[in-house]
Amino acid sequence: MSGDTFNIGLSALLASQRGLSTTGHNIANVNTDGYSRQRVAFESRQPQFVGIGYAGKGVDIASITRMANDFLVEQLRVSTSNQSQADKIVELVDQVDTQIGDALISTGIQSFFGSIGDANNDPKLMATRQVVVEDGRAIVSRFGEQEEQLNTLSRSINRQMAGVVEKINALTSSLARINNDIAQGAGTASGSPPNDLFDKRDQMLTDLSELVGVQTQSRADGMVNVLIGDGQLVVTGGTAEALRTAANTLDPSRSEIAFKVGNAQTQITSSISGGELGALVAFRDETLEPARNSIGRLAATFAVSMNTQHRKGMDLRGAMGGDMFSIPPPVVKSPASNTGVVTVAFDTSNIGALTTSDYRLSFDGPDFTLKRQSDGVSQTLSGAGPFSIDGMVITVGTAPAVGDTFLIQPTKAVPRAMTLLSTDPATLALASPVRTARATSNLSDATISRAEILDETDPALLTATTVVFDDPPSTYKVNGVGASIAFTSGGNIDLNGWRIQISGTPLAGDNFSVKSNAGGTGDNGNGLALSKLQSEPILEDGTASFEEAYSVLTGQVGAAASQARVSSEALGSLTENAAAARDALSGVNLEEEAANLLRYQQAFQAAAQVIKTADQAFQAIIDATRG
Amino acid sequence: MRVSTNQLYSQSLNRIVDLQSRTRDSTNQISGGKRITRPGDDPVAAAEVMTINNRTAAAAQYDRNGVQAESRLTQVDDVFGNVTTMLQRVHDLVLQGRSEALGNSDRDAIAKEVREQMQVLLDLGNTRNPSGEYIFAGALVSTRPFTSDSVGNVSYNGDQTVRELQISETRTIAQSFTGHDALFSVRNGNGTFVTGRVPGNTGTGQVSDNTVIDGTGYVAHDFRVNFTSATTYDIIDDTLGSNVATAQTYVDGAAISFNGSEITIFGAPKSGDQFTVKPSQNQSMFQTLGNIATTLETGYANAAEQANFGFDIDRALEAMDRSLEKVGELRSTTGARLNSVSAQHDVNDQLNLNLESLRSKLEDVDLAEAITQLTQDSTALEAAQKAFVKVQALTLFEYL
Repeated sequence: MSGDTFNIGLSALLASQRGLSTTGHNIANVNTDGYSRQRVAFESRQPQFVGIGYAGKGVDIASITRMANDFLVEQLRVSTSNQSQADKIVELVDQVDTQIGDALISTGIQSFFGSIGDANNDPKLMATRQVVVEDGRAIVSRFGEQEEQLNTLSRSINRQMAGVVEKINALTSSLARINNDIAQGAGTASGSPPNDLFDKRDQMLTDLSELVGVQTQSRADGMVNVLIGDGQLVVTGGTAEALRTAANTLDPSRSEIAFKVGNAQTQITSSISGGELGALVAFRDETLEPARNSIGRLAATFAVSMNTQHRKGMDLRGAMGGDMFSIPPPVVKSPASNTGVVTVAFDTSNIGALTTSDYRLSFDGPDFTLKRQSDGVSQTLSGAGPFSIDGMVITVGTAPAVGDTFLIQPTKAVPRAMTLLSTDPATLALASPVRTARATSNLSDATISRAEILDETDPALLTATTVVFDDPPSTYKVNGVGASIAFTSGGNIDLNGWRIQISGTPLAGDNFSVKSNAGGTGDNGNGLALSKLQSEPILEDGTASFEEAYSVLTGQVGAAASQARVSSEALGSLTENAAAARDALSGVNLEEEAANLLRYQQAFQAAAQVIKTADQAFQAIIDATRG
Repeated sequence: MRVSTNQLYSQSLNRIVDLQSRTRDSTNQISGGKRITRPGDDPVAAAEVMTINNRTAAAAQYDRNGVQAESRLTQVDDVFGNVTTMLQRVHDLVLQGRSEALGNSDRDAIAKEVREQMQVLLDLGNTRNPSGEYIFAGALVSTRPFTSDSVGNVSYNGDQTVRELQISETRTIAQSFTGHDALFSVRNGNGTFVTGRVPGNTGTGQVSDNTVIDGTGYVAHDFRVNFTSATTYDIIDDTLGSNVATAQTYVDGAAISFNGSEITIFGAPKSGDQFTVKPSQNQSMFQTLGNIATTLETGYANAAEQANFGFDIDRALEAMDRSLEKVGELRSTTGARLNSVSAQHDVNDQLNLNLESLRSKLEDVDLAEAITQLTQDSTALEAAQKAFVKVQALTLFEYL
């Protein structure tokens, strides 16, 4: 009889002790990430039939359970992943935002045109020309610096990708190990859950999802499979498959994420989303590379436009202007397996059509397919070329084989390799190459315009030419000989690569001359034309000036930054909510544990009292029988 | 809802950190005076501010060009003012030289002064600007535009290009005139046609009152009035080689009309005397002055020579009128250009003012608002900190 009471007291003592130790465990792990509070479930022992009925036999510990809900954990993981991506994007975009916002290029272009304006006021003055040269140098170096900053960021993205992939691999192999431990633990402890291992694994998955978006599949044996991208199994039960980074085959300056499927490494970069890795990939494709291309396009368009106009002028020494800036042609990258050779040049006559995209050119038999990567638009190029498209001229050299592909990066290399050619102030072609005049002996007041240069390569451009009016003066002859040509007042007269207009009513015998402007050092005809390019809408198919194009870029990057911040804030509160929901169930509350301590302490003291009472009862019997 | 201890900490902490970053942003805005520190703060406004800055810089450039244009045009105007004074002096001299009371030696003295005035005009034509450029040489700024040969003939060595200065995005203004346009392109005669005498006229006939009476009927041909006797004349179109009218009766001082024009011949022409009527041509002011000096130097000794002298003096006065008209035109063009520059300057000023106020609205911080925000945030921060300390002090363990 008293043996029963002893046993009951003992079971209560043990149960309370377990309660106390579990409470202690909870208190000990109050600051452990991912820890779920544990609770001891008690149940009364199987009663014993004692003739008159069932007698209780004390208490048993049914289980120690972990207060956790997979759905809440999953929710927290997803929002953690999204928030981590958004935070990382904010960090990255802010760097570009600050760099572009400095507007070095925009102010550089501004002061360059400013100094051309000053030179136009005094075209012969060496001092003002020297300033144009200095500002030209400054703008070249500003393009270079800007690109170098962005390129540094691009290289840092590659390094960060490698770093993140390494962390992912470490986590996935730990996950595989802990999967094994859980399977074994669940096996040996006869169905009791290894609570702390589950918490640990959940925490690892949360850590992993900070790096990359993951999905999980629970298995019957207690393990989980982990998938990334669009279903790549990085953890399958107890084994992990490592991700790798590899240089892009066409563009080695670009890292890609590769994953082993079967025996082959497959590139999965484009399917990566979420977490830091997703942020790195998205930032590179959506912000960084477009910004670099945008700067490149601005540099290319600026250089080509200035060169085109500068070649139409005459310098201080009477020589025709050359190129003001030198820029490299669009880069064509091709894998070693290609047979054919393709070269690409800027289409100087249609430079405004240049885009900020890269292109993929592939040969499929008779035709080429050119895919613009920014919007995925493809077009078929039939025939032998050359093909003029989007401000580029594509020329086919060695005939390609079916399957040859080429990556065309029209503008990326431009800012870094741009140089100033007109370093001698005297070679700035500010004057018009030809001057026009009406003869003093003309009887009429008819006037001749300045000459506009249509084709500076015309061999007869600088040849002295006169327009002599016939009698009656409704027609004229060039140099007074040959066929008579009908005259319209103010109409274009195009000859020898230039264009003039004669306005008014010329009289018979009037003559107008066009000849080389050598010595016309005070002329700023071409300088004014160069100045005009500042406000000329050239880019974006003739809708944006240089400076406008730059402010559009600023707006785009700024919008990306502001959007990233907004979504980071929104996701921050989502994550906070998800964490609150999980913690509401799983988090340790010290007040609660304090109360539990008191509860189990009292139960423990009561159980001890039971044993003491049983002991006293037993002692009473012993004393009685000893007599 | 159940709250975990960690959550209590982290939520309060997050709030405090958040408020700290907001007060820092407000402080930055207030101390920097700018609402936008980088484009991401307000992308639309940032792009617009960039465009405004570009336009402001361009306007400053245009203003600089305008100041240059103004100073150069003012110099040009000064020169033309001096040319006017000089021409008026010569005009007075011509009137003086015409007087029949004078002898040939008196006219010689006057001719000398005319030649001196010619030198003055030459110097004015070779004026240089502060940069050392000849202002009337066109683009050949280092070439002396007007030079005189040993017999006093002046030639123009510049070209016909006028430098334009950009005073707005769409507008350029010529900073000067070429010497060719200013001093070498003065129409002679009455501006449409010029009358002449054929050397060897023996009568005392002279021509005056040359006017165009029908502009549309006028044809720019060479005509000749040929006296077939002292009382009859033919009118011949030399360009076509045909007669316009024959055997007309001469009336002293009566108007002769043909080809849309009207001339008056008076005096006593003799048979064989001829007068030409040709389209006006460009004649330089130097030529005009030279002709005057030569006429005065030549003088006269008999009635026929006196008639020729009178004829030449009339042509000289006519040419002086054209020159004065020309300078008047040049000065009014210069004035108009100066007005344009100053009007453009006002437009630029107004534009700058508008741009600046727009930029300020977009970019500058509203101090009252920012300070209010800062006060609110720092009050909230203080409250959050106090609450944190209070809540943390409340724990059951205190009572165990």
